[in-house]
Amino acid sequence: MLTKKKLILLLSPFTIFFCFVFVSAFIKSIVTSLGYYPLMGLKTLTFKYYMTALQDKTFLTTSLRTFCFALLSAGLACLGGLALALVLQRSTGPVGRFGFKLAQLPVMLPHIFVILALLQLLSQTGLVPSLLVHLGWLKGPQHFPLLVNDPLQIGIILTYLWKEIPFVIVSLMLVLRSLDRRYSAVGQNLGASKLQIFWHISLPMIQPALLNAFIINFSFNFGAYEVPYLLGNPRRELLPVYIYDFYVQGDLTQMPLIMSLNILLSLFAVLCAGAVLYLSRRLPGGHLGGLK
Amino acid sequence: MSRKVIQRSIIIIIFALLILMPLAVIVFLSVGQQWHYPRLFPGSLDWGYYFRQLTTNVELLSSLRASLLLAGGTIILTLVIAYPTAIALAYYTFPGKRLFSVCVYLPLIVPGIALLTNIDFMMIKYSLTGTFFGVICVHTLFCLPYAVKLLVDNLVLLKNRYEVTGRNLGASPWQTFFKITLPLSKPGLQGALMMTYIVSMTQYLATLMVGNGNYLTLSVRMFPFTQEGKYQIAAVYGVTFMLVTLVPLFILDSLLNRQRKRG
Repeated sequence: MLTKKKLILLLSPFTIFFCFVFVSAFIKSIVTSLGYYPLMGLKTLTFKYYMTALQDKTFLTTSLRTFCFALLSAGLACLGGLALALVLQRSTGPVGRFGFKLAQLPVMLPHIFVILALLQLLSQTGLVPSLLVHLGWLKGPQHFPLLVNDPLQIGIILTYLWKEIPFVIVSLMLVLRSLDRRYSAVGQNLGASKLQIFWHISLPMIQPALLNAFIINFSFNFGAYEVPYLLGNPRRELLPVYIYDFYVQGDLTQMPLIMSLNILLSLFAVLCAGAVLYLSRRLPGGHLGGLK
Repeated sequence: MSRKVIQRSIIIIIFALLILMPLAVIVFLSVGQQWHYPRLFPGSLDWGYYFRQLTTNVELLSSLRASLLLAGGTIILTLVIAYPTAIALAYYTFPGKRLFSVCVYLPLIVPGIALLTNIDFMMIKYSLTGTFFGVICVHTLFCLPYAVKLLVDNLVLLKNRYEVTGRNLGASPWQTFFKITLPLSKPGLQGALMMTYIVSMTQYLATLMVGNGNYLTLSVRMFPFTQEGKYQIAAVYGVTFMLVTLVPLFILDSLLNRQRKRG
């Protein structure tokens, strides 16, 4: 029934595809980053591009800024999503069902969609400043705080929150609905406070799903290009824009350096994800799963 | 007690407004004329404008076609790869299973920009940039984690006891697959299909870079219009996007729900 031959047959489509698209891309990139790039007559293996990358101040500060930014925005999305999922779970009436249905909407729409709406709403000539001026709460649109292309990346964070809070809600609701409510009832009977029930019963049961969503959001915010490109501040560039600009300049002599940046970033992201997963397994409830 | 219900309802209503606001802004942008600063409302609403665009704008129609073609190709490739993978992950234990499932999720963990520049660099070498196959390969890479997860969750729930029974009663492997495994995993397949459709439709940089500008999908075309401040035409693309994603998915979802309740 569960024969070895059948297993190999089942695993081969993914293995072939993955090796073809993902593994081969990374092997080529690693080889190039080590200085083997015959097209440009480079054939000696060297670590000098990694050394250059690790000494490049712009790259390092941009990476650090992007890391903090991704951590903050993904963390906010998880907190907001968790809070709203708990509210939605408790409201079992039509309002709650309606809220859950709506939470699925942003997951289905592209980022550019909310960028467009945000520009029309929050840029200094947008609808919100006009409304405030009309109401007399603001002397002129120039007094409205800069929320788009601002140095604090608020526009980007708002875009990500609009997309990711609902994503967290959807992933958590699937777990929350399948939870055994009797555990909470037992806790209550034994005299646990609401906070204790949340902290010792509910949270451990949903933490694997929450941390999975965190990893996906963090990696996305760390490496996505379109939102920082349109809503970012040119003087506080984020990493994806930095790398993309570097790559499309088309300077082939820079390819080994770009590829070494890519490899460093990928390693870093995988290590971060690994650390979060390790943490998730160690925390109460970790045996329930996670990325499986 | 009832105060809490009211509090919760207020939170949900604020949440709903925040979700719906961008959608409303885009719908009004697409039909409103002269909606510039300092106007709070569009000068006039021309509902015909959108439909004239939808029937006469050749660029819009061609990008709609490109979006649907890529999504269709991606769905086929993704399901062909994800379904056997999910069966293996749900029913078998084998050495290296952990590593294998980590590989499925890697495309979501590695930063998009690094992954895409690497793949673009490799695809140039195989001269796959700008081809249909090249683009659906990249889309599939990003769809697989979701598709496999949805399918595995569904299959694990069922366990393979029905298959074992079928085989014990003398059914051939193909019979068990077509009469038992496939019908039982229908909900999982439907979920995977919907998610793949969405992920493929919303891709921006993957389509642009690996597609080399040959596949200007709806989300790709919205980009330059937004950047140049041509919000109305960008919103026309946005509304078209909503029409081809939200409406069919909503109809499919409610049909499935009704089926589930009946069956």
